[in-house]
Formats: sequence, structure tokens, C-alpha cells
Amino acid sequence: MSKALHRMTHGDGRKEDADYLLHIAQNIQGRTICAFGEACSWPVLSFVKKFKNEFEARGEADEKSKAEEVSE
Amino acid sequence: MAKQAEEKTAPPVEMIKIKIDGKEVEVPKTMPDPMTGKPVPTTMIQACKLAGVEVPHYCYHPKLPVAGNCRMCLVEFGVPAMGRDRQPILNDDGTPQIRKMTLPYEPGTPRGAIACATPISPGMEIYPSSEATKQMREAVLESLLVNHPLDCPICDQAGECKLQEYSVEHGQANSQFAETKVHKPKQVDLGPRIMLDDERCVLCSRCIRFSRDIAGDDALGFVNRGSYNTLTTFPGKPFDNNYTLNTVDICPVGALTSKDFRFQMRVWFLKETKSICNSCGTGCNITIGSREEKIYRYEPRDNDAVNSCWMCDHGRLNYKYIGSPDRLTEPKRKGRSGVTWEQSIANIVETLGSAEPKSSAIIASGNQTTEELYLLKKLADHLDAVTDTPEDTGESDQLLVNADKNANSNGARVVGLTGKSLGANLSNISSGIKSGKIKHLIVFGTDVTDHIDAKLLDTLDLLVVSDILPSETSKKATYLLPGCAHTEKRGTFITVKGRLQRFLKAVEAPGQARPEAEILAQLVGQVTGEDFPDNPEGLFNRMASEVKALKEIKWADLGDLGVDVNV
Repeated sequence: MSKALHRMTHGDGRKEDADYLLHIAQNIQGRTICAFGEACSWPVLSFVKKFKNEFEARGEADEKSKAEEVSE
Repeated sequence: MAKQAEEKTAPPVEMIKIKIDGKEVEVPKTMPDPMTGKPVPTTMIQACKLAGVEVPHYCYHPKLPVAGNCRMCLVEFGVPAMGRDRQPILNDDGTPQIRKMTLPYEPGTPRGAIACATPISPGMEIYPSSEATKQMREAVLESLLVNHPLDCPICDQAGECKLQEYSVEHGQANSQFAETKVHKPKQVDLGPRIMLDDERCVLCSRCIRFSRDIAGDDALGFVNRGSYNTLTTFPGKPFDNNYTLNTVDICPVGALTSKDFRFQMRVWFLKETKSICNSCGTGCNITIGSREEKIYRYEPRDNDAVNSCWMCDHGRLNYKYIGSPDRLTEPKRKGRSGVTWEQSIANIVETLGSAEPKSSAIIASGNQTTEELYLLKKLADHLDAVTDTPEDTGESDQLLVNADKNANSNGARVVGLTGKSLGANLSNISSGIKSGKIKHLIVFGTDVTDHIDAKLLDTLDLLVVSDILPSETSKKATYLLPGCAHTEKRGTFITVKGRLQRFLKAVEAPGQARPEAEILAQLVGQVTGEDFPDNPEGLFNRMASEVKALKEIKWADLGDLGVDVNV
């Protein structure tokens, strides 16, 4: 998750990254040996669920700017 | 259904009724703990195994203490719902209502419990095949594979890798991983026999628990945090005890590999033969991995009565002498260039047939099979010969290694070739040769120049030697008969604890070498006039009917785990 977010903040995001983060976080919570599983996944879950359109918009914008770079 | 192990002193274990995948089964309430032997509550994974359902797992091992860190054995489960009055709530048809466990903070999502560490309770229902359980397994596998390198084509574990097997059975087909993998040290030299690949490690900690709790050598541990978690030894202290190669067996992936077997052979080509290790008197049950008459490795077999599921490194690597280019391959006659088996046996029979009583001696190694020792005893009785077996002792340890390095000392004792202490008669034989009383000496499988002066051997009329590798004794033989290593014939050994175990043939003997039992059946048969079966089963059955300690067991009843006999 950290690497995915790092990618997104550095202009390398994708539209499906929002769902990707949700998928990872949901698969971690409740399935680990220690409570750090919930500790790391709950912030991601709450951010992405509440501001999903912003995450998706950022992903789309990144994809668009990369496509423009390639075509130049 | 559960097998009830009723011991003479312990009361029968209480049985509980639970449901696994809708099928009701009755399982014992407690089972013995692998480390202490004391009864502890039965876990869900043990209950599922008794019911015939295999729950995938990595860190759990039936012989090691439970860790619970891999989370692969997560299963959905439900317990009978209880009302306020502590009575079970019933359905309309009278059956107890089952409440499936869910996450406390998200009541819509099923909660999984790790089957290896959760005890069962009466009325519980486990669902190892439900949709929720399958989704949990897919998720765990996805997480495990995130940083796992794509090494299958070059990894030794391919073909026996649990990650491969569970990915096929329980994993997702598509990868959605879009990041870069974490890189860790790849060819780490952990010790003289073990190579570690940190990237492949799934951090199950089986090796750490084995080394610390079973081998007694607290050598391995995890360092660094999070995704950089790495297995390592203390800096400067190699992983070097006599049981390190067992960690290679229990590692579910190809992280720990044996330097000896690395890159030698793909495991699906290996023919697996059930056998017994012959490096000491413990008689660990092994599986020989061989292909086309070459042995590639020994692996331990499960036998709770002898070696649990482990074996020592020394015995495990002690197979190379079998493929040595020095192997004796042809019958030889002193002073002649070529001789056939028929000629050799005919000449020996002629000489022994006219030998005076008490003019012969037989020295048989403690590594010969019980059947061969039985035939030698028959010969000794007929010739009224002095017999003995040389002793071979070394170091022992608290675990598996026994001080008696003969594989079959008890076999020699049971058939009567030697007394309680081996080697007591060797000085008598030596003085008998010196005085000229003993003119014929038959040596099987050992180098007697350790006990009898080599020059004395030259004074004998007849020296018959059977062995697999050349020695000082074999050089002086009048007749040299090439024999077989234990991997090239079928037979039995009796362990120091009195367990009779059989082993099977894995590879063919080189050249014209023949199993000693075949040679002896002919030889002894012709000298004594008795007719002996020359196949292993017939010979064993005949021997068991005559030797009292063997209680007339049949070869077919020996099974893969052996039987106890009175020594």
C-alpha cells in the first residue's frame, strides 16, 4: 500500500489504484497475527472510501499526463 | 472418524461432536502435544485432518510448537448461539442455531480463525470449503506472493513446493501487483550444508522453531522489520549442527536448500524407495531418491516409533560411497585373471565341504542384513566354526545418533553369530589362525586387518571375502565375491531398540555384483545340503520361522514401519 501511494503521489497513479488500495486494505484487516494489520489498513480504508472520487480523479489525471508525454 | 488410542494406564479420551463442512464427526477432546506429550485441546486443523479435510498451512507442523504467523489456515467457523440464560438457542426443528463468527468492527464480514491454534468446542461448525474461507486463502496467498521472486524454473523446491501447490489449488489466477518487489540477499551461506535464499522465505519460522526446540541449537532468527524481515544467523556463527538438513525438509518453499542436492536433479524425476539408513543402530526410516541407478538424496520417512520425521546430517549424506568408482564388480580368484561366479562358488563349496570341524571361522559385519547373517550362522553350525562380529562404536547424542555404528548389531545377536558384546571372539580367531588350527576364514563386509594381523591372513588355506569396496582384507582374498550395498538389495535390519525393519531395493548393483543373500543361499545350500529360497521374501519367512526371537512374522506383515522383536 505504501508503494502504491508513493507511486500515486509521484505522478505514476492509475485509475484502478483506488480499488486496488481498497482491495489490499480489506484483505489485511482481521487476517493478521497482530493489530498492526488494522492499524495500517483502517486509515487507508477510511480515506479512500470517503474521498474515492478524488483518488480516482488523481489516477485518471496521472494516466492522461503520461499518455500526453508519450505522444509528444 | 477419529481413532481412539487406548493405552493401558490412561483413561479413554473424551470425544466431542463437531461439524466439518456439514458432515458431523466425532473427534477426541485432547491430543498429545508434540513437544511435551501432555494432552492439550485438539485444534481445528487436527480435527479437520482426522475428518480427512486438508487445511492448507505453512507455519504449522505437527511435530513443532504452534506459531500462527502465516495465517494460511484461516477458516470460517460458527459456534452454537447462546441465549441470555446460557442455554443454546434452538432452531424450529430442534437443532442448535449456529452463529457464524464475524468481525467485531464490521459485522458483515466473516471472521476467520487460524485452524492451527484454535481449540474446538462441542457443537462447533467449521467450513473449510466455504466461499469466505476460499477468499481468505486467496488473500493470504496474494500477500505471500507479493515479494516472492519468480524463481520457479531455477528453484530446487519446484515439484515439492507448498507455495506452488497451494497457489494452484487456492490462489488467484491473475496477479494485480503493480509495484517493484523487495530485494533481499540471495545466496546466503548459512552453514557448511545449507544455502539460504532470503527472497524466497515466506517467514513461516519453522526452521527457527526446529533448530531451537528440537535440535537444541538456537541459531536462527528474524531481523529487520516489515517487508524487510529477513532470516539470518548470528553474524560470524555458522548454522552448523548435526540436524541442519532437516530444516531443508520442513521449509515449505525453496529458501533453505541443501548445498549437496542443489541443482542436482529435479524432484519429479526421482524414484522414491522406502529404506532404512545404515549409518548407525538407530535405523532412521528413509526414502531414497534415485534416478537411473544413481542415488541423489536420502530423505527421512515418518515413523513415530523410531525417528519421528527427522534424521541426522551424517546419515543423510552417507550415500556417496555407494556410487564410488572403486566398487568391486567382478568375482576374483587370487592368482588367476578371470573367474566366473559358478566357478568361484563351486570351488569354495568343494573346499568347505571337505573341511574338518572347528577348522573354520566366520567374521560377519554388523552391516549385513539379518537374512545374510542367518545363512552365515547356518554355515557356521554345519562347519562347527568360530564366529563373531566386529564392534563399531562412535559418538552419540541425545537425539537420534546412536553410539553403535553398525546398522544390524542386534541382527547378529539374534541369529547367534555373536554374543552380547561384539568382538569378544576375535582374539580367539586370531590365535586360532596363528596356531594353525583355523585354516579357512570367511569374511563378509568388513576389514578384519584391524583385529587380525595381515600377515596371518596369508597363512590361511582359504580366505573368502565378500565386500563392496576394496580393503586390506579384500586384497588378500583367495576368493573375492563382490556384494551389494543395502540400497541394491532387499532385506531387514534390527535396530538397537529391537525393531525389525525392512528396506527395499532402489538401484541395481554395478557390474557382476550380487546380493550376498543370493550368493549365500547357493553356497550354504550346497555345503549343508539344505535348500534355501533365494528370494528375499521366502528367505525372510524361512528365517522367521526358525529364529525364535522373530516370532514367525511374515515379510508381508512387516509393513513400512517395522515391528518390535525380542532381542
